[in-house]
Amino acid sequence: MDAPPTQQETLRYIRAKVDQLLSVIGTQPLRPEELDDQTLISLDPIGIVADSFRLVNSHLNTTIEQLQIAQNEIRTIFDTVGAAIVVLDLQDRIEDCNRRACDWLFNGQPRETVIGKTALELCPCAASLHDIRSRADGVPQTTTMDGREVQVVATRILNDAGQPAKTVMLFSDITEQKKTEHNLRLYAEVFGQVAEGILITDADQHIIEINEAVTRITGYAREELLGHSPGMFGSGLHEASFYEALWRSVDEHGYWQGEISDRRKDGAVIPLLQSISAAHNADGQLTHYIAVMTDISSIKEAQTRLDFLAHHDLLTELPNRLLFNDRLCHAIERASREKQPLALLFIDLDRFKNINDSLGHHIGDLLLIEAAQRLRKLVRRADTVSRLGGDEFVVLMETSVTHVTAVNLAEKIVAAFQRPFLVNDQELHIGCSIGITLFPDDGADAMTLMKNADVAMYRAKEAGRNGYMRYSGEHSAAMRLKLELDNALRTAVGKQAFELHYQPIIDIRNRRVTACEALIRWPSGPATARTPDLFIPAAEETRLILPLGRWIIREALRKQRSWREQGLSLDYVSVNISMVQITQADFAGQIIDLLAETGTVGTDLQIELTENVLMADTEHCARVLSHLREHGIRVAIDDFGTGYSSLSYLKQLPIDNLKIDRSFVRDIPGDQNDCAIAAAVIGLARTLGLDAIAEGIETIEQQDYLASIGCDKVQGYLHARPMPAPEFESFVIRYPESDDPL
Amino acid sequence: MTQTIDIDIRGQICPSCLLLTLKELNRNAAAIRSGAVKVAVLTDDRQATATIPAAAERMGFLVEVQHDAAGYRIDISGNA
Repeated sequence: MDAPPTQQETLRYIRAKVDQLLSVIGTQPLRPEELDDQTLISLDPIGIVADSFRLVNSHLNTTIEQLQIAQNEIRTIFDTVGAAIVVLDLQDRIEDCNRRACDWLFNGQPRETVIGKTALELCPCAASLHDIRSRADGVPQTTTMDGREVQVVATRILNDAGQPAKTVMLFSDITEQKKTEHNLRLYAEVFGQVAEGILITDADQHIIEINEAVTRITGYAREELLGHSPGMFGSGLHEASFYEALWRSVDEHGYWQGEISDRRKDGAVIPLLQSISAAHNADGQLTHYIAVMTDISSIKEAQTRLDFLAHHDLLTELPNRLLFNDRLCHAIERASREKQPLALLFIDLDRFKNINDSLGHHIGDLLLIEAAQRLRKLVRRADTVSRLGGDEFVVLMETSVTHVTAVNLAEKIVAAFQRPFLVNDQELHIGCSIGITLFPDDGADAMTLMKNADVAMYRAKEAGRNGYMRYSGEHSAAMRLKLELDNALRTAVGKQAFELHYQPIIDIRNRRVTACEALIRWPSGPATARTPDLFIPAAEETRLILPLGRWIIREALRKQRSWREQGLSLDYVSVNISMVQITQADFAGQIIDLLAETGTVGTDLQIELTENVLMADTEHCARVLSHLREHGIRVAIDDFGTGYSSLSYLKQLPIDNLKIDRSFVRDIPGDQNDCAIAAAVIGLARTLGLDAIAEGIETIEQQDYLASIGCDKVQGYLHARPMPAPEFESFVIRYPESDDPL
Repeated sequence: MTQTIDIDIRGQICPSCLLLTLKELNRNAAAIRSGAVKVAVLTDDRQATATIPAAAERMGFLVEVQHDAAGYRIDISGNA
């Protein structure tokens, strides 16, 4: 058993434990010379240090508690952050990861399972991320994982010694962000490139953004617009109420759309189709106004042009029938109210169709333009000149109208149209016929006034063209007759209700029938117009002469061929040709086609033209006749001596035959003048090497005289009248016995 | 109003300085933590400027050491 410690031993033990505690607390041991034993006990250093340790301990507990909270906080943040975070050691083993990483990268495995495994074991994508992991430079890299865009940031964590200890990898799915970026880029592109101007203001209507199109449309640079109000585009053309209604619509419905005229920087007014929308934030507060503007200048111009075209004649730019009728109706309304007269001048160009047919539509069109200009210069501003179509024009006189003023204007127009027109360096001679009606005397409504002016115009034409005629009630009856004739002719041409009669041409020296002239007959024609001199002009005017003329030539050639086959050897059959026929562009071609169709040759045919036809357009006739001559077709001048008798064309034109008009034959041999003329014509023919045929021979004296002066070919009742084909055939067969001169 | 307890231990050296300061801190710990009391230690022992702050900080107090001609002044306060 040990002895109890002495006081000395106890004090030594206390000092040793005090020094041990002081050492723990980080200070020097007690020095005995500094603290005697008595003071040591009273100072109670063990008590002091114990108390201090209690405080240290309490502080540690508080700190641990706070750290625990902080750690929980950090773990919560770590787990709830949108990105996946993985902490790796230097061997790529997983030290920690957040919940998102477990779900997304590690197939939903719990954190406890994945810790300690290598990244490669857990995630197939780890291999492709090796570079990023080993570099760990904290620079965001974009990669693709499972078809999604992912941003990866790898950062190295160093230990206290500054050596790499861990790698933290942060994965953010930026697919949506990329999509948004892409969309934003797309929107920016659309915003910049779209043809419509887009202008955005704040709620106080200060411009905060515009696209390129706005600068193009308004002419202002971007810097000149930003911060300003769109009010700077105001044109001053709209009333204040217009803008009030606009903003009321934006305020009430959030939207306005309409046409607005703004002013460009250079002062020009631009028509815009504009929409203005109010934009609000999530709280429903107005934040912006968005204006979209389309420059509709070109649409407006096109609209104006279309409007013009709808109401004007394209060629002459005169009001067309539509606009004219409208003006006429308005004028009638006003004139009825004010008890004022109106006048209509219905103008039709004379011989225009011939020009169109012979020189082509191009020249015809130029002539119409020229005619329109002449008309426009003659009328007053208040009058309307319109082209109704074709070669028809009409003038509406609205002020100071009397019969005299209307007639004065008509006279001026007729005179103006008698002056030659210079078109493409060619002098063209036309002329016009005008029908005049006055409101209310000649018609109480637009339709009657126009119809009666048309009737009067036809009367002017019938009266010899180049003139005017005021409408009179009698015109209507004449017009009705004429219309009836036109209709009957049209039906007859369709049904081929015509016949040809043939009159022999006799060679009195050789006593043989050398040829015949084919003459048209219309047995079923109206009593008033059964003879050719009555119905041919109507056929010419309606141009029915064209199908009728073709029928005549075809029929005559067919007969000529059948006669030849029967042994009736006639040199040719002669056919009369009208001006309307020869002015067709392809007249010669038609004849040549008919020869082929009927199995005849050019020498089987002679065409007869009057001097007037040849004179109207000598150049054109020369071309056509030369073409016909190349195919052997003969050309005769009919009624020679009654027309212009300009001898110069006899030299220019390929002519074979002169037919001396019956008016010179009738009074020979008694009338010396006629005898002289007949002798001169026959002499002329002989000199030029042409045949001469005397028409209308009725007496043996006439024939003897003609024979005595060298004309041995005759045609007339002395020998035979025109006969139907069978009668003509037997006449020829029995000739000369059949010939029984009176 | 914060009350300051001055402890003038000039002329003494460690570990006495530390023990005297700890004794004062133990006695007033609750008041110092609440911010009602601050302790200002005046010392001329350089070693005390290391031992006193180290011990006081482990107890969870804020410590500030100032040096002037008279020696060192160590202010100890609660961290609230």
